[in-house]
Amino acid sequence: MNRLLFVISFAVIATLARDGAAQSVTLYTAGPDGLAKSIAKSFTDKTAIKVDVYQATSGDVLARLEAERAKPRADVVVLASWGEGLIVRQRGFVEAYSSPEALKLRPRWFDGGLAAQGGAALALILNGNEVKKEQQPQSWFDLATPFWKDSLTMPDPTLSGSAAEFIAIFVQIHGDKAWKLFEELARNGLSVPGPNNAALNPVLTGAKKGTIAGVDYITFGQIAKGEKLAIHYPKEGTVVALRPAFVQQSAPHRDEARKLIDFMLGEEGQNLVAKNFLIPARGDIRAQRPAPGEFKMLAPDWAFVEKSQSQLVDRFRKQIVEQIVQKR
Amino acid sequence: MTVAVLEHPRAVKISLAGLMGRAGGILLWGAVAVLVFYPLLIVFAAAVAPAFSDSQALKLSDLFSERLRAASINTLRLGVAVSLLSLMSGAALALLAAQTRRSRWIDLMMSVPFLTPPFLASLAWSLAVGPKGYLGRFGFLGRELEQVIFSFWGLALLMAVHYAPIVYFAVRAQIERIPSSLLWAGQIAGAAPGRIVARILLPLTFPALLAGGFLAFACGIEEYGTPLVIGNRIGFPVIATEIGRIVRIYPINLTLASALASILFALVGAVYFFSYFLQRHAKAAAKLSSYPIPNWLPASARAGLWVFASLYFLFTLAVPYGSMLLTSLLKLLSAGPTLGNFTLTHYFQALTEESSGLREALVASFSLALMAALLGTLIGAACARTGVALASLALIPTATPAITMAVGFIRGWNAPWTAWLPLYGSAVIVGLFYTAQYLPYAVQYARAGLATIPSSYEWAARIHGAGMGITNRRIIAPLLWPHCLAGAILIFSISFRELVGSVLLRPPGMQTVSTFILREFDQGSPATGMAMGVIAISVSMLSIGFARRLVPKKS
Repeated sequence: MNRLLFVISFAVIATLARDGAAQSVTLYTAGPDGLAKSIAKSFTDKTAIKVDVYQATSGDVLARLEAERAKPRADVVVLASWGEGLIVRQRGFVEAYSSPEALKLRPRWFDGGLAAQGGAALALILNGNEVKKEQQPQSWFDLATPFWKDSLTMPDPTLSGSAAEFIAIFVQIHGDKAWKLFEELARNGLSVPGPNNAALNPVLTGAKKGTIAGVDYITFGQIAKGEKLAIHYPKEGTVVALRPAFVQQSAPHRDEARKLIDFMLGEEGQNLVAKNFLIPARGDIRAQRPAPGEFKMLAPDWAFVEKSQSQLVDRFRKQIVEQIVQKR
Repeated sequence: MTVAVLEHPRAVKISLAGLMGRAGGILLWGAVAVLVFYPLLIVFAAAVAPAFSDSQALKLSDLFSERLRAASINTLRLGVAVSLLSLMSGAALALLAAQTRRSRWIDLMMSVPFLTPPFLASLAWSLAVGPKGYLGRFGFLGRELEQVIFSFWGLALLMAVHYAPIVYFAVRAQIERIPSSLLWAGQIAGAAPGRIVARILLPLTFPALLAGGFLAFACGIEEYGTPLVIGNRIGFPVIATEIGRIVRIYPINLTLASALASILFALVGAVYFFSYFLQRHAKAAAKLSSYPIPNWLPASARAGLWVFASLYFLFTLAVPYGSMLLTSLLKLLSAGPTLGNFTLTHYFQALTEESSGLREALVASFSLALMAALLGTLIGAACARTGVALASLALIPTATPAITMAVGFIRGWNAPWTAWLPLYGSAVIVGLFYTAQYLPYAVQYARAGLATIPSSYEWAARIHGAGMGITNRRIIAPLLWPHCLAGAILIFSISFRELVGSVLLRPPGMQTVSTFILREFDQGSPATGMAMGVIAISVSMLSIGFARRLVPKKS
């Protein structure tokens, strides 16, 4: 018991001592771990400010922000979809900081304190062994054919922020035609197994032919490793999930936080973003993958998304997901 | 009246020792209050007075929605099914273990599922079944098994695999403490094996069965991982997954989440109350003897149990861990299990690359789980010994979803009035979370253990002038110690792979085994994730094997 107490007090003192040392900034990110680490490292090399990285899913970052409301810990936050950024801003978590670097971002990738760190397209991700090049569909609306029967997955929009955004923007553009497509897909045996990775893994192993609205940058990484996957952007265009970065309102280290945001949006940070197969937020940084322009990006109406996303997701759950389940 | 006093020797107070005991009691109440009540109080305060913590107000329409009603019914059904399946398999295997010399192997095999993050096993299963899964590729009923696994009973079965060990270890510890003279007597008097089980073994292991079944039920209704992976696909929402959705997916509603947590809590509370009433009178009264347990089970029954055991281990170990191992050895997942596609690089990378962080994650999980096991067992055993009130209160975390507890910990220890204590944001808080969350295991194991100690021993000690301290040290502790160790091992195993609290409470920069594996699944490499899983399970199995050597063999 005494020894245990000793160990505990030692650990407490050790953390105390660590917190007291040098300048530091805390980054909460729902992003690729590799990107967060390389940004932290380059930033520390440049400014001698230490970066403590908390990396988790968007949901966990949000839950933690909300629970820490009484005494915020995060200085800089990066989330996985713009819609989540908008709601967080509504809840008063976003400091209205406009970085000088933000002027160089693509138009509309920056808005009142939120700046996109990068973006990922929600594409059609296909297993290269199961789907030949000539079998790739021209249009989203070609997916309800017998060839795709029982062989498509989609991330569950109640669990994945980016899939929710896909539905909202797709409905915003296509209206009732979108719902008709979703229903046809459901009848054709679409499976909605869970968050992003739960939808992507069956495609990776070849159990399914493709995923609708899968986040593409992870797949680019897997293709680079040699996996037989293909990424396809149907001709109507697709949704780009922007990853909002912001300084948290009442961040404990505000100045360092602003510096980190500047660094992320600057040339060096954006090159790191590109290296992780995300679309850089700046048009002047070369993407290591197709960027908007090389495929069509659906133009989101953020006011519509903010207003109706949760309703649409609810409708999708009732009208599509629960129908699929009942059919089984 | 006299009898009543005689039955409660602990109520007698002796001056100095009694005073010290009282100080210890206050300390114990304090520990339980800080670990368990404080975070929960914060959460409930947020539910009752949302303005106080700046959350939304509770809307009753949210709470009584159709979906939540379905989820509540599902939760109950699942809890009962999981509890029954765990009881059946746990008890059968404990019986087999008592009647064979290979019991250590069964112990080991039972601990493996316990060491595995639940989501990992269900992911391994989903890779193994289906027409294109590993089993399907080799022509073993891929499609049929897919239908079995992705169903209500499949879900219950997968969960029961994780909780059968609770029943198993509790019953096994109990059987070890049964005076073997009773079994000998039964056999000499000519009782058939069935009668021995029904009239001797069952009544004497009843407390352990109840305790195990209760814990399995509580775990079953509280679990998040497996219902998320399997239940989501078959449209089977339970309260825990609903809470997870409400807490993690915007719009977050912590108020509704704590209200739901109270429902779960009421469910478990009712079951506990019931099991307490059944358990009240179970108390061993006979003297322990040093003869080994007789081999009274007939060969046919033993063979039957072995068949059951092999099927059980085929299902719980061979398939999921085979699938896990296979996945971790694949160069390219899309190329499938072909000869040219095998590689060890995932292991090499994980072990040698500085940036992988595997070692840090292992060390962190290991030391935090150890801390939880030691601290939890100490507090738990003391609670069980102190009395029913404290022991019952210490069971509250069983009824609390981990995510609620985690939010309580964040709010409680990040509050302005705890600013002087740099607990939040250090690794220690994760260890304390494990301790609080798994305190019930320690309490239940210690209670089952105490129930086997005849009160005559304590009377004998008292009559010979021993105080509370000496009685505890010289009589209770040596008899209780195997139970406590079993509980400690359980706490260690389950903390080692805990996910929900680790995700939310870990300080920036720290990973645990589970968060590490989940990250790999989220961000690209299921193969690396599975490799980590295999390494982590091996490390913890080795340490548990080592801990088991500490138990004195029954002579």
